[in-house]
Amino acid sequence: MRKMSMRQTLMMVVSIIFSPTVRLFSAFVSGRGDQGAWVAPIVAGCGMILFVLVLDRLIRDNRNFYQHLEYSFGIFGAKALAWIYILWGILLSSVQIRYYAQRVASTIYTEIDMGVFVFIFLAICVYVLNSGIVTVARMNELFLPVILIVTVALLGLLSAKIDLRALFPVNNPLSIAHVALFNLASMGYVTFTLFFVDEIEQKEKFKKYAVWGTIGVSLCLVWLLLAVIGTIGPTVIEKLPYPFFAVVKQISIGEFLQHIEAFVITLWIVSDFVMTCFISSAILKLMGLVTKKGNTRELLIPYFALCACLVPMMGRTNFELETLSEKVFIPLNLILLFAMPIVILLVGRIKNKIKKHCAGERKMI
Amino acid sequence: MKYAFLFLIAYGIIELFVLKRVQNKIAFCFLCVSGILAGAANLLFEFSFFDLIKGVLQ
Repeated sequence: MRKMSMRQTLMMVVSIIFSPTVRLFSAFVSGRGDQGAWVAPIVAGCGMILFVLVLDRLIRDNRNFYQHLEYSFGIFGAKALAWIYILWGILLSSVQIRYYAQRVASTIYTEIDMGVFVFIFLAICVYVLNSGIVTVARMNELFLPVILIVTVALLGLLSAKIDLRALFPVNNPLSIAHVALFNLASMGYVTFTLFFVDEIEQKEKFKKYAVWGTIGVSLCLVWLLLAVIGTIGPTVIEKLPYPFFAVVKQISIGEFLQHIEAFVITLWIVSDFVMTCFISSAILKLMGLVTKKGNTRELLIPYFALCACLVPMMGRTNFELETLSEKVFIPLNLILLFAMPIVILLVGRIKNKIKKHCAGERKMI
Repeated sequence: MKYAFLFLIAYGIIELFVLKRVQNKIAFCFLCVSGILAGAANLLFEFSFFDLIKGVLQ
C-alpha cells in the first residue's frame, strides 16, 4: 500500500483551512466579534495546541479512528458512532460542494447553471480519488506553496490600507470566544488525520508539525482578519456575502496589476477540491472499516452521486447556506472533531487503568 | 443535479445485477438508496435542510 508522510497529511489540512477561512471568518466572524475579532485566532490557536496533544496521544496508540471507537465504546457503540460520522461527513461534503458551486456561479459565471460546476467538480474528484488519497496529498505539495504565497502577497498589499482605528477597542471577551469557536471548527479538520493513521508514515512527527502548523495558521488568520476588518470595517463586512473577495477587488497597482480577485477564486477552488477529496476519502475509509471491506474504490461514484443529489437540498440562497453552517455544521464540527477525540482518549485511559488493576489483582491471587 | 438520482438508479442496477462486481454491497446499496431517496424528495417536494432547522429554531 502506498503511504503518505505526516508532513503531506498536515499540508492538506492547512490547504483545507484556506476555504472556510476566506468564506466564514471574515463574514460571521467579524460580524459577531466586532472589531476585536482579530484576537480570536490567537485564542483558538492556544486551544488547538492543547488539542494537538490529545490527538498525538491517540495517534501514538497506532490505532485508526474506528479501532479507537471500538476500544472505547465496544462494537455496537462504535458502529452507531461511525454511522453518525458517515452521515455527517456526507452532509459536510455536500455543503462544501454547494459552497464551491454557489461561489463560482455568483462571482464569475453568473449566467451558467450551478449544476454544470457540480458535475465537473465531482467528475474530477472521482477521477483523482480513484488513485487514492496519496495522489491528492502529492498534488497538494504543489498547491499549498501557491496558496500561501498568493495569500501572503495579497495580505501584504492590503496591509497598506489598514485603518488602525477600525481595529480597536478590543473589549468584548464573549464575542471573541464565540469567534474563536468558529476558528476552531475549521482547524478541527486535523482530526481526520486519525482516519488515515494506517496510511501515514512518520507518525511520531505529528506533534512537531501540528504545533508549528497551528502557529503558522493562527498568525495568517490574525493577519487576514486585521486586513479585512482594518480595510472596510466590521459593520460593512456583515453586509457582504464574500468580504475577503470584496477587499481583494480593491487592490490595484496602477494599470499594471488589476483584477487580482481571479487568483482568490482559483485558490478557493483548489482548497475546496482538496477539502472534498480529504473528507470524502476519510468517510469512505470509515465506511470500509465499518462494513469490514477494505476496498472502497467502488463506492466513489455512488458517494459523489449522493452528494450531487444532496447539493440542491442544502439551501436555496447563500443566506440559507450560511445559517445552516452556523447553526448546524459548526456545532457538529466542534462536537465530532473536538469533543469526541477527547472523550475517546479519556474512556480509553480509564479502560487501560481498569485492565491493569484487574491484571494486578489476578497476579496477587 | 436534481436528476442525479436517475443516474444512480441506472448505475446501481448495472453494477449490482449486470456486472456483479460490487464487493461492499451494504455500503454500495446504502449510498445508492440514500441518493435515490434524496434526489426524489428534492424533485417532488423541493425540500431544503434550511426549512428543517428553521422549524427547530422556531
